[in-house]
Amino acid sequence: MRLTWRGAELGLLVPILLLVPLGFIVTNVALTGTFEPGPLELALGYVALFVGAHLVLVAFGHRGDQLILPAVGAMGAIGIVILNRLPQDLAGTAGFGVELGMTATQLLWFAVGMVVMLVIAIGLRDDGILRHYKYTWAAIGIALLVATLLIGYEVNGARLWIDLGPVSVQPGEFLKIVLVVFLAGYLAETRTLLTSARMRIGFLSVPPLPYFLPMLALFGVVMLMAVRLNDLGTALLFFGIFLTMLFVATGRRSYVLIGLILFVAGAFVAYQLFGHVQLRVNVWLDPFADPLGAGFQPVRAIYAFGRGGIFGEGLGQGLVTLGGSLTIPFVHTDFIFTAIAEELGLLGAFALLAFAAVFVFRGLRIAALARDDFGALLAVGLTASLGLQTLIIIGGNTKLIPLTGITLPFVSYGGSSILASFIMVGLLLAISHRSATGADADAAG
Amino acid sequence: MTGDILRVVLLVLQLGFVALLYLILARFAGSLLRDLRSAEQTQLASQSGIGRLSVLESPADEPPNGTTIALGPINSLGRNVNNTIFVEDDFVSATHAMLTFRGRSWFVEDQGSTNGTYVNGHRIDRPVALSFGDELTIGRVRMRLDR
Amino acid sequence: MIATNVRRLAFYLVLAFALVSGSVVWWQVVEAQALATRADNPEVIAARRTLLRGSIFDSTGQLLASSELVNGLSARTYTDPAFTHVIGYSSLRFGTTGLERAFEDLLVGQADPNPLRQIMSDILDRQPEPRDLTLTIDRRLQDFAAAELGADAGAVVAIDPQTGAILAMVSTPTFDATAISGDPDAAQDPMDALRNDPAEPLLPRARQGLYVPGSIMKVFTAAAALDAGVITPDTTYEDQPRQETEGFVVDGFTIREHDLGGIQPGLWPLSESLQVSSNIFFAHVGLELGAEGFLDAAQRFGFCEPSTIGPDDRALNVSASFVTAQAEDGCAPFSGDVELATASFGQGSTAVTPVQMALLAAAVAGDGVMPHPYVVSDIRAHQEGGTPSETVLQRLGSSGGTRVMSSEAARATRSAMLDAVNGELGRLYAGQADITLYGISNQRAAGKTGTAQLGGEQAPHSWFIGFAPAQDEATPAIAIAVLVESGGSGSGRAAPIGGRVMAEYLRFSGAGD
Repeated sequence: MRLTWRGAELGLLVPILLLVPLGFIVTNVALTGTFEPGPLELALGYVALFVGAHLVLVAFGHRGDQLILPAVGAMGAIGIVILNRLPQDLAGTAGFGVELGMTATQLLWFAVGMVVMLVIAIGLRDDGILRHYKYTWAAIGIALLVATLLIGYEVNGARLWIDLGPVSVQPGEFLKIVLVVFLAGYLAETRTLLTSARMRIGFLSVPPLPYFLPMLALFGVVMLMAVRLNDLGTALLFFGIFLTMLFVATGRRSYVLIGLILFVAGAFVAYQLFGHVQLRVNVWLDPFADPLGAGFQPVRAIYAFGRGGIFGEGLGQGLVTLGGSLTIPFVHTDFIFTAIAEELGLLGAFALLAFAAVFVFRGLRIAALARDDFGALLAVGLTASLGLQTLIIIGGNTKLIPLTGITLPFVSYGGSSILASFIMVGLLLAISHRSATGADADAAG
Repeated sequence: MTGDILRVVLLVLQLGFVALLYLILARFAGSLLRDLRSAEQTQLASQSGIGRLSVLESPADEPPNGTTIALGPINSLGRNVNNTIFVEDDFVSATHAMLTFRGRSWFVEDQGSTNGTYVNGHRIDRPVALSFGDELTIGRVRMRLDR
Repeated sequence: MIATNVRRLAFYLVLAFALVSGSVVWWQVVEAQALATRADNPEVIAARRTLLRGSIFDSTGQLLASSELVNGLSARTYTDPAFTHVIGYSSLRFGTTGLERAFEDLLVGQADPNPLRQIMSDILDRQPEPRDLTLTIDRRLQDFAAAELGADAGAVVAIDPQTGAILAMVSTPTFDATAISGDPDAAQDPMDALRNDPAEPLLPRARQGLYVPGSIMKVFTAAAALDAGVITPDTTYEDQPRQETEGFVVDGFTIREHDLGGIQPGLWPLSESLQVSSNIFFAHVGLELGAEGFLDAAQRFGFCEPSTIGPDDRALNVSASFVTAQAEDGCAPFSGDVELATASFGQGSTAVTPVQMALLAAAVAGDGVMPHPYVVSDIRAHQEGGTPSETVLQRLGSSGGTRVMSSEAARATRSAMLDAVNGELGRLYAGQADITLYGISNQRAAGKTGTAQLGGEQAPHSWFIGFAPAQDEATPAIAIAVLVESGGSGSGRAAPIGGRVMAEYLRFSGAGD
């Protein structure tokens, strides 16, 4: 074990960690109308978490990417500042004799996630456990889905939750990781075959079926169940991850094209068959047709964007509640980007998008520098997962695409989402560390 | 009055928050640019390959004076045009010398030339390892191995 | 190889990020201004929670709606439920409807009727100044009409045919909007009760109820055919007397006369045909006018598309009325002669609003000019105390009308309608609309009853349209449409309401004795 000075990371973390105390103070001044700075324990807790994680990485001589953690820290900082600004009774934990408000609960999940991330980033010396047991992972994934189907319970029409005593988890969030690991393993093995063997149907070259079918079959099961569970956002995300990884593994645009054609066809069938899909699409096309009923959420979100304008209404100065009820439903989960855009304006929204972009492009860089195909594909899958999720939910908020109920990674409230995202960051850091040390090992030999 | 002061302070704080966001973005941009630049340099180095020969003196101007020649792993030098590096000089043999990159360093070996091969002014009689900056002379042509 | 693909992926992701960023710009920059002023924007609702709204007065200065602050929230009080479907409601929870919505910015004072002053207050960021409205409706007539409808569902629309001023516009059942206009938490239960009421009290029937018109449609058929020159007041059809008993076969479908109640069929011209309301006669007229002529005239008379009461930017909306099946962009073409013949006497696929039929009556009364209806006569400075201010900021008078038929056609139709109420045969049907029965001895009313058959067990809708005074040389002062849902025959229920409302108006406006 040798120390590694992670200067770039530290240099970025310092201003990022100033965001949270500053944001808390601004919010408190705005909400109370006094110069009281308000309680800062939670803000300092957030600072301590990231400083601690940085120090642990330094202590263990971790040589992974230095921009990933700051990018996560920046997105998380905006998220925690906004959550702290919302009514604290929207969510929270009560158990073991303590009651925690929403921000405190979120911070607790950040802490859990951070620990898991560090364990993976430092402890995962060898990716064999991921690579060789890919069918085991696939089985675990299916088991997760079946469990959700059998013992899951519904929130807002989608059956996504499993109750585990004090906490409820969303298996879909973890299923995502399992899917990426499986696809990376399978594609790393078969990508040469998928690329070289050619079959043509008309002007499209299609993948050779024997190598393609197992993956397609598993994927079909996952998609069907996601639709069955009425979780359209997750289904869309899985599909995006699948196409992205397939494209990177094979370099074939035609595969993506076929995928998109299948997707459009599937979407059309789903539109014809399922009432809830129809409703979603119609609300997307014209939310103002029923502004107090089905179109309530998107209409309220659009107004919030309008209120924010370029400079925003200011932290603590937006119209979050009106007469005791939220102006935007699910503002702490699905619509948190809208709340950010309202209070921090276009400037704040762009900053958040930029942080997400930094994260995504660093993730792709890790993929490009990875030592082997498995590592590269894994990094691409993890990055695509977090990146697409960000794009899908923000696009849903702005009505660019139909709204689907998924979280904004590192920003939305939600333990499962935070924990799963940190697991993915841990994996990215591990891959990045391996390629950095690997290059050195070559140089030394 | 206090209300006005509060409003002004609040406005400053709000602007400060957004400003801090963009300060962070600028630092991210800085970090990304630094990475990009170092990647470019690495790429330049890899484009130039494993080494270059700078032509210091060439009476017949072939190879031309003052130019640099990118080297592959195996290079033959001589008066025959089929050599990797064609040297036009009456004191150079048809196949004069071999310049090869083995493992992590450069070696030069005379191919039984009439007038011999010199490294830093010393005639060689067996394969000799070259360091960057060493001067290589065949016939009347002087060249330097560079990175 | 993978690294190359990753680079290509990065390119696509840049595009995706740009697209999403663009969509944020769209709402936060491009559309922000347009969103800011919409009435259901929570920001607007929030601002208006604490803003006082201006008052609304009837034409004689009686208070109809006023606001006060209760526990810091703006609460609206409405004095007369008969006006609910004109004024609408202003709820802190459910938004605004009716005139409250159309004049929202003026009532709360976020706009100034004077554009120069508007610019000044924009620059100076002034506190909003509420404005008051005065209606064209006299509360006495509105209440009288509401009382006439009683517990029945229906509508009465009365218009001044010369100016287009709405004199009464009642929809029943109605409700007291005060309960849903104050404390937003207390508003939910009353609103739920209204929404779940099978009588649909929230529906403004006068403007948005669509009903089969029945025989009142014959007024349109006559006017359109006279205007097109297809018939004269003396035109007769020689087969008609025989067909009154045998039926009139069109395309293999037999059109039958309604029960004439013992009247012997004769060779009837327009006046007699309208008096006894002969389906056979008007089927002939419609067929002679032709599908195209019929549809053209219908569109000219304002059927087939939504319309408004008041200028377009501050309007009460009126649903489209139809003479054929409803198509996406208005009336579908006639499917054949049977549909045309039946539409000519107000059956088939016809469906109309009471406002549209009142305008039809007004066009006949107005010598062929259909007035542009309006219901707000002026905007005044706000004054506390429940009385209107003397300071009138803007008058919103008549904006004239549109000629929909020739003066000759209007006069011939008017004469037939006068006979339909006062003639020997007509008296048997529409006699109850005769205003002399209700104390007006020096004037006469014109009109037409309608009994809209709905098929099945359902009792027919009872209709009456008319105007007064209607005798030669008189200038009609009021045109009216009365609808009583499932009210039975037109002569029994709607005609007396029409007669009494017209008589009441003539009495207090001083036009009758």
